[in-house]
Amino acid sequence: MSTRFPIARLALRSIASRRASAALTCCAVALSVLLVLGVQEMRESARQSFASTIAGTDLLVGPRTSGVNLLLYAVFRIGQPSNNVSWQSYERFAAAPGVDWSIPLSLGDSYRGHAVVGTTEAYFRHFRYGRDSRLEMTAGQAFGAGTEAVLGAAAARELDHDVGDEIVIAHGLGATSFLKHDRHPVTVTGILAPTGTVADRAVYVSLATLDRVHETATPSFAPAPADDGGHDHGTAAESGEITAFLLGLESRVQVLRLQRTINEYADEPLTAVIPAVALFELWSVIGVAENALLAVGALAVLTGLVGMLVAILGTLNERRREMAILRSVGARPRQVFLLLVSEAGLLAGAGALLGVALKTAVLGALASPIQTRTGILLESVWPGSAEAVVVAVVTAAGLALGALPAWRAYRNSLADGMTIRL
Amino acid sequence: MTSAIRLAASLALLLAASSAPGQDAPKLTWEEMVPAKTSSDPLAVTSSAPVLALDGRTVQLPGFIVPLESDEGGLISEFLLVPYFGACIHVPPPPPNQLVYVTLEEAFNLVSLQQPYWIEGTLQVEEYSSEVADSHYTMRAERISKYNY
Repeated sequence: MSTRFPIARLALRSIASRRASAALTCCAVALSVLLVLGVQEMRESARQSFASTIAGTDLLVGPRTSGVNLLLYAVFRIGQPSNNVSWQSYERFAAAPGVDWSIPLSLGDSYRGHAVVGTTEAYFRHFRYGRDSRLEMTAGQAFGAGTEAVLGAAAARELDHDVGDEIVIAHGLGATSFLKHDRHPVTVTGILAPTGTVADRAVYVSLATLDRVHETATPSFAPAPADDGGHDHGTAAESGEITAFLLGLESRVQVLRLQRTINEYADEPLTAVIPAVALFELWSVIGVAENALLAVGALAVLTGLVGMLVAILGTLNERRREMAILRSVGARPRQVFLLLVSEAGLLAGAGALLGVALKTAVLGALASPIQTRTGILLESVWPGSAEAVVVAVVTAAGLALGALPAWRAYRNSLADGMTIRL
Repeated sequence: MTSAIRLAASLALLLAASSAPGQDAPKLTWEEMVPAKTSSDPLAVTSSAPVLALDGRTVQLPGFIVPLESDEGGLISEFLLVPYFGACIHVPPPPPNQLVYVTLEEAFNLVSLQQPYWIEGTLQVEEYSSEVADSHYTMRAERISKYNY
């Protein structure tokens, strides 16, 4: 290549001379890259958050339902329980040979939009998340015998509560409920360290506290308006029922046998699932939607690049003179071809980089609201290897697509040569 | 002439070594994991105890995976290897000598519960004397590959 035609500089100058349209083209590519990276990031973070929520639990037991459904409502607090588990069944299996520990869970109440989880202090001792991490207290301690509560990190922060505060638990799972058990305020005794999972958003009370609170559950006024009908949640004292329970075994090899025993239990229809299996089934369902989203993202990138192609092709005619001048000062048709290809590559590459910058900025700004709303922790806000790959692919695709207008310009410059009539 | 034969022979050996599982650990079947009947009584209950002779043997075993633990990325890090699919739901669970508790060096991406895998590693017999837990096999998996029918 002759030094008289520094293609890259020419390409830069040429783009600079059409700033406005070049900027718009860049933006189109950048937005599509933002879309595909954003989808990817949310997907990874959501998966990570789900996978971290429960660890070290051998069996999750609830009423007869599907494993995925049980996992969703008992662990991730998505959806409503369809039925309850009797306290007798819980006691029966908590005391079964080979069971190391058990955690009862009673759901269905809320405090200002935060789920209230009725459990025992076994929850703080045995519940694990992430890679076998235990729950830690940042302040105070687990609830004792009194009407006391422990708040998840996010719940405490959002509600601006500290150890010693009194809260009033409401009936139902909505953000507002008009059935409040306000004769029984609950004292906050402890606050959990952040876990980056749904456990952060919950309010934990003892089963006995829930009972005490529910003793006055009868409303003082006519049927509650706008209640979600979630009245069948019950508690140990009200109806002798809990929502679900978790079991940890002495030996994991026993898990299939105990699962079979629980599923075959004649006294009550129960479902026992291995959390890892239910989680895996959940991935298989979600995987389809995830792939569809990624495909949409990829199509958006393609659309952005085609937009760029159209923009370049559109200018070809008005640039015939420019090409002719380049040829007249000694540029070879090959160099005209390279010029246009590198313009396309530059536009696509700049667009992709802008997209990565946008994504970093947008997710950086949204990370904390997303976490407080959904409990999903956006892990890698900073660009990593995935972003590098996307930039490389988009730039390469831009170069490849650029070959089309470049080929036309090449043909034109051969055909027209210096004889073009303008 | 002899050198040509030698070359051909070594080539054949090389091919055999690379294609056949010659370098791989010996393949084990699930039947071999049940102790042979000691009594000739046809009504004798088949033992659910592991075969002690398999302790410490490096083998390849085909089977289905029942995940027990996954890491933050959703990759499987501990699982039970069982001889038939659906061992966790539809049918009575396999006896203790028909499942292997497998831990992994590094978590792996399970494609589907229906996909069988070859698991290669050293079998160990974990002896238990508790009333509920039985002796069983454990394995630290070194290699996992898809089983092709």
